[in-house]
Amino acid sequence: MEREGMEQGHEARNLEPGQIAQNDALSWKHISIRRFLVFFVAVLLLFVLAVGLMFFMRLNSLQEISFEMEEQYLPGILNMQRTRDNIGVLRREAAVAYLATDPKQRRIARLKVQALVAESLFENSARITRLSRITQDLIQKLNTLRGRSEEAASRLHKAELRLASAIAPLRAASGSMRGGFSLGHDFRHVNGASKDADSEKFNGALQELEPLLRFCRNSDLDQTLRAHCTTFAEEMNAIRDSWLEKGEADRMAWATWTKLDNVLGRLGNAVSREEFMHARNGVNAMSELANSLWFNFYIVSAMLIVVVLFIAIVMYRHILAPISLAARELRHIRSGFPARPLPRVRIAELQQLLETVPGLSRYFTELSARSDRLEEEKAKYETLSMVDQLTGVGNRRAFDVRLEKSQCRAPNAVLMIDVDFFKKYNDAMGHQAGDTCLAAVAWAIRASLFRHGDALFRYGGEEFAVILENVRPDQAMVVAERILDNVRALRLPHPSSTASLHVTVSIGVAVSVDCRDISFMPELVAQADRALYRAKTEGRNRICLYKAEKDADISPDRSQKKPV
Amino acid sequence: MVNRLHILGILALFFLSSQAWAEEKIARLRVGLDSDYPPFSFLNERGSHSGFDLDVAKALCESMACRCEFVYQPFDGLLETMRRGEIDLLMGVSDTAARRPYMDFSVPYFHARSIYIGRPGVLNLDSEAAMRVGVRAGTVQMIYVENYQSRRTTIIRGQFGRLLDMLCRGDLDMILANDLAAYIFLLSERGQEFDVLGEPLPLESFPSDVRVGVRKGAGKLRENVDMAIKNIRMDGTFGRINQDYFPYTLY
Repeated sequence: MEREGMEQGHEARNLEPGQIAQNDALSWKHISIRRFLVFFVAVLLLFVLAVGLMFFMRLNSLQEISFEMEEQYLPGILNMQRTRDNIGVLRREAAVAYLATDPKQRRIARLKVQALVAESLFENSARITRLSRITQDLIQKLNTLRGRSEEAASRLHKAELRLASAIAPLRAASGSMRGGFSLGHDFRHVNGASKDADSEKFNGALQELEPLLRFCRNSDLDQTLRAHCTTFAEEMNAIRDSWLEKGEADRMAWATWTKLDNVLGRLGNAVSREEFMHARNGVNAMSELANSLWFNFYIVSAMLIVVVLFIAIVMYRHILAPISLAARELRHIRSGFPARPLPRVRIAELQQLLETVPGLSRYFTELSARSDRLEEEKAKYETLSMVDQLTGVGNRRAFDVRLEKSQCRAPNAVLMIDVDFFKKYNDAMGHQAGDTCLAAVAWAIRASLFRHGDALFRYGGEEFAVILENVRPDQAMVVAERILDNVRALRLPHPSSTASLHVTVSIGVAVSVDCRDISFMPELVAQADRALYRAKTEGRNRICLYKAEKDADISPDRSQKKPV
Repeated sequence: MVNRLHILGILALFFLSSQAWAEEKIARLRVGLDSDYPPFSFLNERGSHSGFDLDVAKALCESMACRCEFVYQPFDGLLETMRRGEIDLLMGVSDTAARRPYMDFSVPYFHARSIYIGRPGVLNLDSEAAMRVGVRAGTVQMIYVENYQSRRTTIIRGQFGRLLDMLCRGDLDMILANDLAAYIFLLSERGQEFDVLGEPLPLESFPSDVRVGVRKGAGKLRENVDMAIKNIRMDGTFGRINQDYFPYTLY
């Protein structure tokens, strides 16, 4: 049966692909579960890969920016600081070069500037290198101007000394005490005074010496005074020249220093601005990246949630739902309802599973029909084994089964029937005729039993047994007599019989009195047997009723009956 | 059981001690320094070693958490010692092809140019006069002068301190040297009579970057030194040392 079922399933599976191909090839493509899983995992992997790559690239940029921070921004800031510091040094040294009166200090300042300018080649900035170069030139110029100023100052000083030595005798001679020499210069260089102001100041001072000049213009001067006058005039010119030159040099030095300081100041500002920009760019890049990382984090989280939902939905739709559908449908069919049409699913294996469900229903109904038929057949075979082939009545086994099954509801009767002189009949007429005779006798006996529950069995060779249910002894006797009559009425010739010309039977009857005894039925059979023995010994072709109290009481009333 | 435990314990102890010993051995670095090279490495008035390179070396050792011992030798001697692998670090060397076979180099920790110093006007002297040029033995400057010497140049090789003494005594006409050292000399009391001669040598004459030489093949050590140089620059240690020796910030 199982084999058959399997074959049926197999058949169904063989059928399906063709049907599907015909019906749904265009609209619905089936895939095997392995392929489905591979496809599913591949899609997931791609997705995760994409997401991971996005995230990784972000992380990579984080790494890059931290690297950049370390390798570029911080050293950059350090470099900027250094540049700014060095510009500060340049500016300070320029001031020293301008202000210092001590040439040693000016030399030191110059050397430092020179060193810095030489080193500025390492700045990697053309602008700074160019400006350094300008600074160096300006410092050089400043130094030269300072030298010029100092030379002029020392000339001035000498001229003044000589002038003073010339003025004293002239004053004495002229008797003028007015007009003391008061140019008012000092060794500090003039700051910011214009050339005109210088000349004016000089002329003002000259004015005060006017009496002496006038005195010298007198022609009546002696030799000595004339020489003094000449010296006076010469030194006055020398003073004027050196003074003007010193003023000029000082002004130029001042202008140079101002320019230098401006240049350096501007450069310093530019560098610190650059430094701040640099730092801010770094911080900006960092914060930008941090923001984008946050954003990315949200996106990636959302994507992961989508992935999980996707997995859940796909799993539910393509795997769980078909399985639960199949389960529901199986329950449905098991409850005895007919199979319903099922929706199609994507995965081939599950589709096959679903398609076996209606098949199963068919199989279930067929199975039950088959089992009914089998039950019938079995009953039939059972009956066959209980029936005597020759006579068509129940055989000895059937009789035993019936004895076991018979219940003690009411008094039962057992009739033991024996064909008289059957051996002789057989010998005389042949076995064939013997068989025919037995069948006829069985038929006659059966014809004597009217009630449904009464049963006839072939007990042995020529012996029959009848069980009557729910009978009184007199009723049982009536049945026995009817049997006796019916067999006689067959009129089968029996030439070797001593009891009659035809075939007759002897009947022993036993009727149960108390059915509560467990062994009452076998006992009843034994009693009937004994009664049959009596009937035989009394001459056959008669009925004997078993009586428990007295064997003699077995009624022989019909035994007198003579064959007709 | 007890025996086995004992053996295990002894083994563990041995292992640990050998490990510690190995670490200590690695951690002890021999650092080579010029014995007479003001202001990078010199004996101060009190007779103890000091100098820019020494301070930097100490800072590097501290940054690397190493114990260092310092080896003071003339520069050419240091190169030889390094070639023999007897020192691990050598302060203040430039990366040249000739040195690469026997030593590795860290990243540069400062840059310097080279200048001639001498009495002002010495270059304007009668060109027939022979020039006596002093250079530190073993340096890139020496190689430069050797390559470009004319017949009239006499090269005097020696330690920087001794060359300066010779210059002051008039035994030398000029010295070709690292400008930092030269300027520090010019700014000193003894250097007043002297000045820079001409322009600094052009940058491409020879390497201007000053590095730490690292024992050949000690890759891990070189990485550590690079990291330490970066660290002392970033944390301001280098700037402080710089301030102690030079009037401006080094490049």
